[in-house]
Amino acid sequence: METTVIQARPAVRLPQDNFAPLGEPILQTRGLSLWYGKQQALDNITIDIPKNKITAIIGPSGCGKSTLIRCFNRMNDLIPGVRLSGEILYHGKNIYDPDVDPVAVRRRIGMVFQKPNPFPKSIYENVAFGLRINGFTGNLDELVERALRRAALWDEVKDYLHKKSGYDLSGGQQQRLCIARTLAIEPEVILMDEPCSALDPIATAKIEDLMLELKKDYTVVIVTHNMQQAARVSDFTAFLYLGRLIEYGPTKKIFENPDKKETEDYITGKFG
Amino acid sequence: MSAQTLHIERRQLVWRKTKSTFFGSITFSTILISLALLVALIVYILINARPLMAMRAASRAGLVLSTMVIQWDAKNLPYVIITDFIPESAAARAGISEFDAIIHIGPESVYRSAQVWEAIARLPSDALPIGWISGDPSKIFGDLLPQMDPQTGALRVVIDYLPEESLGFQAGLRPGDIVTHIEDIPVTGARQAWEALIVAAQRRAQPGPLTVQIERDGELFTIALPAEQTAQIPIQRSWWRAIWDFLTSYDSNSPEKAGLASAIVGSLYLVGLTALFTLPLGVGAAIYLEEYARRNWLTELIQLLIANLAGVPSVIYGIIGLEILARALKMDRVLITGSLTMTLLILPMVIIAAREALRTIPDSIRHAAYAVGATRWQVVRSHVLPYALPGILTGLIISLSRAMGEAALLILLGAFQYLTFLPTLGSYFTVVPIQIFTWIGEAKDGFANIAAAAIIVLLTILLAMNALAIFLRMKFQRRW
Amino acid sequence: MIRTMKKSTASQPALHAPPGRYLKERLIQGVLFACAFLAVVVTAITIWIFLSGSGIFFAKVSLWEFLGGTRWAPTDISTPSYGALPLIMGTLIITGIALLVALPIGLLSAIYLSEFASERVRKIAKPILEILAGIPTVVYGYFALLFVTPLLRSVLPDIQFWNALSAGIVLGIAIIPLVSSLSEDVIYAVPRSLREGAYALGATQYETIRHVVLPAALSGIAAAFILAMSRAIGETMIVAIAAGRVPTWPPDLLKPLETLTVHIVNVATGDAEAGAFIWATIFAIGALLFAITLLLNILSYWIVRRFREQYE
Repeated sequence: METTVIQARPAVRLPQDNFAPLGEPILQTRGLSLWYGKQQALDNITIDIPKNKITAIIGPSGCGKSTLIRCFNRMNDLIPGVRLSGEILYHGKNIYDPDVDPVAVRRRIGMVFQKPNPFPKSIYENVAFGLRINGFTGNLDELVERALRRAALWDEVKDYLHKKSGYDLSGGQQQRLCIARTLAIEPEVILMDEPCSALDPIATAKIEDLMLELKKDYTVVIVTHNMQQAARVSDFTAFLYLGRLIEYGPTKKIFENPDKKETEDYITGKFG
Repeated sequence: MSAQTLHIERRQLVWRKTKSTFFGSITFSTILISLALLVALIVYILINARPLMAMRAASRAGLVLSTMVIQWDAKNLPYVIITDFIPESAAARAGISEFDAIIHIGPESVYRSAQVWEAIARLPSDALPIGWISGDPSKIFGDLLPQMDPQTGALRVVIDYLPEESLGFQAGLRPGDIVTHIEDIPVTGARQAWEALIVAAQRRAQPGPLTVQIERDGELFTIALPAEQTAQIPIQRSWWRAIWDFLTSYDSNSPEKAGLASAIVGSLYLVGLTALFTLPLGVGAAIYLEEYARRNWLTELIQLLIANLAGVPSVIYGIIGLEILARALKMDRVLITGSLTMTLLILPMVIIAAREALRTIPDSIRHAAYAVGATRWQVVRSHVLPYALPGILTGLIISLSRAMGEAALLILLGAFQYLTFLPTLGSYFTVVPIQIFTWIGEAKDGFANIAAAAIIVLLTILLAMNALAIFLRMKFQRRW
Repeated sequence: MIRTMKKSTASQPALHAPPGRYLKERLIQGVLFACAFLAVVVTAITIWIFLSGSGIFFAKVSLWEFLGGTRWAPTDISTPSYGALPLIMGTLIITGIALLVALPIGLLSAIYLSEFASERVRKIAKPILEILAGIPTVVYGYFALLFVTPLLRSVLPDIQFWNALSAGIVLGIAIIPLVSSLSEDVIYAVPRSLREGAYALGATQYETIRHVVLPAALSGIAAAFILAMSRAIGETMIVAIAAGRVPTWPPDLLKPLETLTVHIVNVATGDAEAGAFIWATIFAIGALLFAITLLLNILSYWIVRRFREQYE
């Protein structure tokens, strides 16, 4: 079957506009709403994430951007009291379907967190963990090296892979280690939740270079409160405000000629 | 504001500040009280344990003692006898045998076994000058026979038969002599004559012959009877030897021979087994409550019950263990039953400690593992559990030290035993705290001392366990 | 709007769990749950044992005689009597003395540690209390019998070898650390802002503690006291060693007495055969003890939770 028609299910309200003609989508949300207990955090979000592009999600604190990105690999499942309606389609398959295993989803859709969170184990073990639990057999050393090389960390750590703990590295190195850990299991999508917020500018620049490099093979979704960063690295930008998707389109357009007044106000620093 | 009111305020302020300082020093004094109590307790126990060395040295030299009592004129006169004959011992070689009464140590009269031990502890050299009177009266007087005086009708005591090798014969006594007095004590009976010897000898400042008044053929004679024998007994005084002996011998009716071997082995077995049962159960429950459980009524109930079970008196667990394990399941009151019951007692504590340890692991670590596709169990097994392990083990050791000192629960489970073998899993057993409890209840001189020594052993083990816990915490604790 | 999109089936990833994983995870969760559920099982078994065990006892002895009778003589063959009042009063007396010792000292220590002590002094003072807490109760019993009683005799010549007073005092010493650490936790939890509010009005440290900190921590301190009481009621060894094992009526501080826990020890160390009626008494006594301590513990747990909710 070459094409599939996605039928809108009755529960899903489709958005009226704010669609941009994008490339081939890999992740799509359909009328996604989310509640923490009684408080609604996301309201009817419909967005397509294009393959092999960097999509930035921006918005003021508390707008739901982290919540949204955590829906993509079902990390929100871990928080008690979360309710969700709508769909998230990954290759056309709703990842919230009952027959879908969240563990398998996370295996395909990796995540890098706000604060670097290496395991308190050796550098090697940090990278190898994902491989081990996912049943990789064969030469782990080779895979670990490849992941570290792609995360541009290999040259800095190759001499003490087993000697140093992930905690002995600098903040920027730790974050690249976390990226390497994610890359090691060859996911398709990498979600980055404000990956540079705890880093200094030099380390930030390195991670941004890395993202541009990764774009060739992976789809990257990044949440950031740093608008320059979104403008520098992303191809598409989505602006979230109070749990709603206000505007979504090519980064250039969002930053230079936004359709919505809220977007413009935020971009120009009137609030947020 | 006038100067007057300011002045009053200043005086008030001084008063209020004084009150505050005074209160502060009162609160501080409570800490000093605690410190003083702790010091008093430890010093008192150390002092009480001190005779152990002399007791052990005495028992190795063959002097296993008992304090006996002569009832005399409504008074109780104590004296010391040998209660256990140890062949080949120094005392045996010197000719001392069972039931002999020890009268002098050097130039001092002794009345109680504790005095013998004190004298040994104070001894300037390794030779114990000892004076004793044989416990076998026939070796002194031969056979004494009470007789009625045909003229006066008074009771008198006659030597009926006297072997030539007896002390009395050598001193000049002969069969047919009527023994009237020993020193100034009138003799009224055969046994009483021996007791009179003891009392008279004790009155002397040092060993020496006692005057015995006899009537022979109607005439009175005074004979110097060297009833008290003396010898120098070599005595090895060594704390190391004493401690080693104490730790490796079994319980006994004589405090100087009683040791902690069965109790220590029992305690180690018990605590080891309890650790073995508690660790998986406690960690399992903690993992469930911290990592798996949803917030619902059942989880709430389990938490409430765990908090409450942690406060249930240990005798209650003892009854449960006795009724369910020992009786209903017919496991009898053996070591394994004891440790299973002990598990019930400390499990709530271990669960609470393990939960606290698990809670120190930040969620970011869990999320990192989930994000590379780990299942919940993989997250727990590969990350949360290993990182929390030092904290869990610290909590476990602290709880086990509670088990180490617990007595009430095990009394119900039959640890109240007189054991002269090393316990095994399926055997009857005893533990150190119960051995202490048993010894405290013994009236005999010396048991309070070895109870103190056992307390020091117990406190040392507890100290070592706590040191291990502190070491684990220092070495492996991670700041997240 | 309905969109069509291109999608290659070849790249459709498998998003379902590999066979066996779900089962394995559920199995592990089940095992872990069983560990936690043990708490419920143990409590249920305890309650069942005490209910059925007391049934035998109360079939022969009326509840009124048990709770109101003043003669406890279960071993008297000709005229056995099962009035538990001497044991209950004995327990209350020992607990009362212990609390008189432990509450003021423990609370004042807690105030010192949380309000006055410098970091350096705290580092020395806390271990003292921790060591006191770690000393086994048989050791305290030894101390009570052989040290405190002779000491008391120099003041009260009439005091007997076994007596309630020294056992109660030493039991109090043994629970000082419990009172102190629990009270310190709650005093520490009183928010700084409350203290600062008082200081800003010119209150001295004593006034702040007396009028602000202690009232704010009151419920938590009450919970600590209740827990200490429950602990004192359940304590066995100190009392068994130092207070003697004779049920006395009317109770006298200077004479031996018996408590609920000590009676259980007496039966266990006695030579009664299994199945003898005296074993039934330990279930009735145990049930009473269990009920009292459970009530106190739940009360304290509940107060602490309320207290936490207030400030967290």
